[in-house]
Amino acid sequence: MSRHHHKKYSRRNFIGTMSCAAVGSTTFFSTLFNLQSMNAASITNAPYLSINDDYRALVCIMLGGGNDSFNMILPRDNASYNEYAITRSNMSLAQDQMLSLNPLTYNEKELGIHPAMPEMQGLFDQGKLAVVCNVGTLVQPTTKASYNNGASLPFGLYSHADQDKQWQTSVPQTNAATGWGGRLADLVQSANTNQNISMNISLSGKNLFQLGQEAAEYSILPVGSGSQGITGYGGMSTFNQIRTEAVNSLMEQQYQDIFKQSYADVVKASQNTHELFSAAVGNSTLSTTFSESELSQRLRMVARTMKVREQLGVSRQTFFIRFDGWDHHDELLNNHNQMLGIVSKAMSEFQAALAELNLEDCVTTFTISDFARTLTSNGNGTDHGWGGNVLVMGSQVKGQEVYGSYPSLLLGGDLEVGGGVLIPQLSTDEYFAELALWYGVSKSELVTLFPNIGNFYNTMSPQAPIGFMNI
Amino acid sequence: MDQSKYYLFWLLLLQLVAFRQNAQVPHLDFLGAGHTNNVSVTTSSASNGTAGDQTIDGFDIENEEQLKDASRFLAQATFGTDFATIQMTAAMGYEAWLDEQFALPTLSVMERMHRQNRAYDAADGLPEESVYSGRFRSAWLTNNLTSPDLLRQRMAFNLSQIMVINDNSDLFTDVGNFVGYYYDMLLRNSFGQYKNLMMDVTLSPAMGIFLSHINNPKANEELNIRPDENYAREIMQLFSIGLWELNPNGTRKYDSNGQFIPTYNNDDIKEFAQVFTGLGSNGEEAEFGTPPDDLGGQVAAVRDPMQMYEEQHDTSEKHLLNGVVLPANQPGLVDIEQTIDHLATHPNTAPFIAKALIQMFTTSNPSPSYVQAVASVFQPTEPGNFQQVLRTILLHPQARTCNTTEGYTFGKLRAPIVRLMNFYKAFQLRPNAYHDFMNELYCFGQNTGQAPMAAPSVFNFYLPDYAPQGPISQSYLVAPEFQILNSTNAIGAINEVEARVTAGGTYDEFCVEGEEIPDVGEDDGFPFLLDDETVDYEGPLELIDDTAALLNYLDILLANGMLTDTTKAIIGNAINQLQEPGERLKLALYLILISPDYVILK
Repeated sequence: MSRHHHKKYSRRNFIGTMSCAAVGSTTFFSTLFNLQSMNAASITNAPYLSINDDYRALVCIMLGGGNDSFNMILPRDNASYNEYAITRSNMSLAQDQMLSLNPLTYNEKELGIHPAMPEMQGLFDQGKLAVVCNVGTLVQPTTKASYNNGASLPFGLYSHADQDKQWQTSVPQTNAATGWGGRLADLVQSANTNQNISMNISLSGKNLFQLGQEAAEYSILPVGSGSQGITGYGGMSTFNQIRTEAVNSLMEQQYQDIFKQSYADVVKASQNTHELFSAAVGNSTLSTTFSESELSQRLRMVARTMKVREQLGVSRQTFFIRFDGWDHHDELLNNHNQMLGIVSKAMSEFQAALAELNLEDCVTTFTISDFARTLTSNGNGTDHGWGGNVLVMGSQVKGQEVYGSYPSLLLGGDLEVGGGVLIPQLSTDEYFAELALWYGVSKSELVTLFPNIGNFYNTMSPQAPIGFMNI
Repeated sequence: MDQSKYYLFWLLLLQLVAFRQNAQVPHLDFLGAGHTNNVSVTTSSASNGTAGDQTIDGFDIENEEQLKDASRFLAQATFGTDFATIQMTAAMGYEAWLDEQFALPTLSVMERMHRQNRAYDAADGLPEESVYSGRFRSAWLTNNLTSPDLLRQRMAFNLSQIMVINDNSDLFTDVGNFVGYYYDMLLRNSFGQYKNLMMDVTLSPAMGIFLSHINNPKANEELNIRPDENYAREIMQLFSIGLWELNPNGTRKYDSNGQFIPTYNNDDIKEFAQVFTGLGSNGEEAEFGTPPDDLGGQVAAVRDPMQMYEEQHDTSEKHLLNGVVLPANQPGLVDIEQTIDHLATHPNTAPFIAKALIQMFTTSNPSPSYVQAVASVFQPTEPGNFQQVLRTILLHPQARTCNTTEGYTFGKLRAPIVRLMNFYKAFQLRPNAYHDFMNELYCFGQNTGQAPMAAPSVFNFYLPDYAPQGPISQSYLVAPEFQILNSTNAIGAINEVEARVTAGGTYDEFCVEGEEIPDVGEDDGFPFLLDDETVDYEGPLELIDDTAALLNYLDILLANGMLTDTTKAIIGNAINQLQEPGERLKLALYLILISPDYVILK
């Protein structure tokens, strides 16, 4: 499939202007800025903000396009591998290529991880990584019989546009307008001292995951001090000094027209947040080294932001990163190998940075993707599937373990609905509810975040939805 | 105006448009307005009323007020225009301008996409019938910058925000033709009638893919499979009647318990879902179930209306709203046409569509009398009825009166793409011969939340009843466009102005795109220079030494005369600290284009 033509743009000019923009940051929109500074300062007196003890962050990595996750986590024992090899044909990896996973208790099958992910194997062995098997979008528990007999199914099953969104909303029966991270922020944002910076920070622009009724993402970039400010604002050239003064005058005018006033307020608040954000993050450095990949660089910015959480006045955060390009209808083996390598390096670098920041207990990182891909080959790639395997990373993850049940990959099996598409046995609701409970949401509030949760999990139950987090 | 003048103006407009492709736009002399040779330009001030006849370009104060009004009219009706078009429109009068616009042919976006594909993409092996979807935005931009049918272009864009599809479906990526043909269909229907538009929308393969009613089979009771309800829901909620019963003036009806009255329930949805069964691809060897992009790139599969596969159409009786019943065993397309007719003539549709269009053209909060005036001329089965609808929207006294001293509720936030086009049209940006705007709107969309046909979902970029927190919602008003004015986009839109106006160089450093943008070899990092070579600053540069005249000119051209004395003083004070003409102009433009006085269209 040919995807092309978006140019790669240089970022060097941007970095240059960012550093200029930071120079005079104490003088702009001074009233609002001082108000926020006071907020930031007051956190030392806030009772619940002994932040190291009470900081929680979720980092969502969206592998956009549909990760072929039955080649990321693979069956390793002879019997299971033979099923895999027969079904996957020329898309299968050799049995001796994969890296072994040795879970503490899971014993349904012996499993392995893709050879491009040695760092993930290492974190698994250290107990900081878990695998959750065959998760997917579900409205209700679904069997092959009910699938064929009119069970309520996700809207637009097998469609990128819909499945990409539904992994972010966890409301697969409709075009939901909010994501579960956004609904989470609607619920939890008030825990943050500083209400001027969204709980939800995106390294990949607008996204549905972080959009709530009230909450929206605050977008930052993986360069400079992260946030976007008005270019040239506060710059030292004559032109920029004149311009800055004029911009201030225009935006600080009192407008009788409430539309004009509202626009000016948004501009002021946005620039103001930028001042605060960039002032904090601009000085935030790490000794952990990160690779050059976009994913690594974005995770580096996440870690830099976490380091200055006290200055920012935040105790609950989510971060969203999109890594696209997983729609491997073609050239699966080579591209998947390369991209899984990027993921493995980036995630392990991030975990190392969290160790440097003494935040390993406070941050959980998890992957999502539109769907896994057909088990069968189309010659040189695979097509759109449904249930798939995901990774969860963090010290509060009950790691070195496999959750759910790794399915039989034989065609015609109990879960297979044609072409090697598998019905998920765990819903995104169960997967995300576990993360939300760890984040601090009460069981009674789960239904607010996940309207379908009752179809999968009794929120009165003492058990966790899946059990992979220390809750 | 007599007929001969009327045609003279039109001829001049056509000439002007034609000349825009050339390096220089000639000054044209014509009666009553505009450039006059040998007029000495000295000063101009709208505010003190003393400038007399010595104002810019030969118009006096009375004419100046007319120009401001014409500028405002054009800002409502189009993506903006250059100064000469404002002058001509002021002289023609709006009725005549509308007549001329209704008579103009349009340019096909799809044809432009083909041309660009042949020029740039064919080497990549993309066949004629699978033009990369990114070509849509460049073709859209090119056509909007060159086509004289200003009103039709704006109407089509506004319709694209009601009958929404977007170009980020995977199916559309390599077959951008779906989007191109869909937009051409909107252009074709822009001065037509609502019912034909809805038939074309419903049968469009692009809409069929987007809302999944292509290859939607009738119920299979044995397997307990029921028809897809997606299109049935959206055609009612978004494209015709809306969720709540309306009065003819667009306000909601109440039942006897003081509750709003839903227009339909889930059982109704199931009935309507049966109507939209049996549609499948057109084209040779097409069968029910064949995805249209699997038909070897056949034009018929991508461009033509979906065809009815009768054996897959639900033939049962269908109970529509208000007691209307479609009898059993009708041909599928008869069912569909009668259903469209049923929705088109539903009492909700006129006020629902009228209000949606008013919100996109003139004001976020139209009065009930304004909505009713437009709704009352809405005749969904009358050929050319949209012309009367547009006339009423744009010439209604509440649209034409601009009272900025009381009320403060008329008007709207200019959408990001409208602001960009205002600038381009004002200074006649010419399509870059080599790149034809490839990617021009890509990062713009990322940074501002808006690019044509790039709404995130069928719910458009913003909802018609969105009210931002603060004084607007406290006043029980709405402001749809504010829904995408978040912290990123507000700054992003300002930086887009910076990149185009003041930086005069590459701008895409600010792109916060979610995906890695692949290199494309030698074109990597091409400069997209928007400087004096590609936009025409001749008009303002003639006035560059006279701050008051310059700001007056730019006020008329861009802000429709809405810059307050305070705002002009702020901008004037700023540029008076600069000497270099280019710097003076760029700073003035930058400040106007980000100023609340401009960004809010009154």
